[in-house]
Amino acid sequence: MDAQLKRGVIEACVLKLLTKGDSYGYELSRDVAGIIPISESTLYPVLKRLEASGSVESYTREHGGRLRKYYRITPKGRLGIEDFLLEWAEISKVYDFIKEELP
Amino acid sequence: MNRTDFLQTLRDALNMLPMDEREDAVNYFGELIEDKMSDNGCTEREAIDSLGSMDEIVASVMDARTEHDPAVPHTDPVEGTNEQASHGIKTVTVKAAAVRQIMIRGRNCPIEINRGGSEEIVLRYLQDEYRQFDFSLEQGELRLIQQPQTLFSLFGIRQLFSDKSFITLTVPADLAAALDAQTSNSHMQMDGVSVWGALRLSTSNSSISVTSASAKAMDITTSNGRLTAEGLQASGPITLRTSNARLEAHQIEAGEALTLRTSNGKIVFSELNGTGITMHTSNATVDGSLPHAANHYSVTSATSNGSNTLKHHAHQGPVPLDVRTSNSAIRVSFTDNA
Repeated sequence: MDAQLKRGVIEACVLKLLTKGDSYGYELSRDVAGIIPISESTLYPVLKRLEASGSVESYTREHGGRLRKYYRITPKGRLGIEDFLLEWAEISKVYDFIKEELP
Repeated sequence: MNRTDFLQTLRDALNMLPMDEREDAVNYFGELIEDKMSDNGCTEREAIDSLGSMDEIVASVMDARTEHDPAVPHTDPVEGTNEQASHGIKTVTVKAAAVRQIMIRGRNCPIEINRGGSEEIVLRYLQDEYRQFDFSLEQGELRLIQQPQTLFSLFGIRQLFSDKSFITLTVPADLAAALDAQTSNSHMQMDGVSVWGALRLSTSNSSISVTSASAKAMDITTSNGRLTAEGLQASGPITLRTSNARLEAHQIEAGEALTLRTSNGKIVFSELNGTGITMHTSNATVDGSLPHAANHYSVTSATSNGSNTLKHHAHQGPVPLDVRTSNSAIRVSFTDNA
């Protein structure tokens, strides 16, 4: 898959996962990998980008005697999910068109 | 390789990044290793190996950079009582090229501004439960705003602070930005800073000292505290204000009006330049020397119950000079006695 495209898709995955509850880096990378194969380091720029755009907020909480960074989705992030779905509905129409034309 | 060595290798590989970004990445991967070990039960070695090659990791971290703003976004917001507030000395590094305006608002917090390295602006401040800051960089405007303390923490808690508040700002020479820094009840100090835009410094009930600075225009204010200005240069106006304290101004060059105001405190000066010079105080002397000859100026002066060397000055020179005090002497001399 094209790298840019993949990044956008992973971002949407992360946002959707966060609507189910706040999560942390490792848990997110495992959950995303269950949907689309990624390496753990791929997730880092995705999370930073989501945070920079205000789609996600991070906070630190103590866990098992050390600090762990959690992520939470913001209202802007929820809008991002809707945008993704609208975009892909468009792409899906093009997919159907292209598939049909092949003999 | 163990976790500590791995993270140090990563830190070294990222040494070209600003400290905040570097530490953020190191923390992320450090946490990842720990979580793998606790959630998966794998060994430290297995956890590290499964991360991929160091090159891959470094590439990801650099990838994260190009995609966002060249400053660290605000992290660790203060939430309810069951979450940890972010503590300690925060350091934020920003590429100077990205900044057109700097706004700092402190409360009861000394501010120090200095000149530093060539391309980066560095902000350092102390954050804890009682002293919280909001940092943002949006469309070239860098803001650091100290939040008001809650009523609970105001009473008595301040005295318990073991660490003193501070904000320090370091900027490169000839910063193409305007700078507006304000605090209260605390000393402010700036040395060796040159900015292209307007400079505004303000505090209260404290001294303020500005040395070797240049800007498009300057407005420096305090109250009930000594104002010391030396080696200032602006293409526009320079205004220096305090009250109930001494104002000292030496080697000041304004491209427009130069104004020195205080009350109940001496004005002591030398080598002042401007298209107009105003020096007002009360109940204290105005004492110093101005460049050029007496006929360079046209004078308005007034005092009561004191001698006045400008009393009989009747020249109509190009630079208006307005000197006022009360109950004290005016002693203004001119360096060029031709």
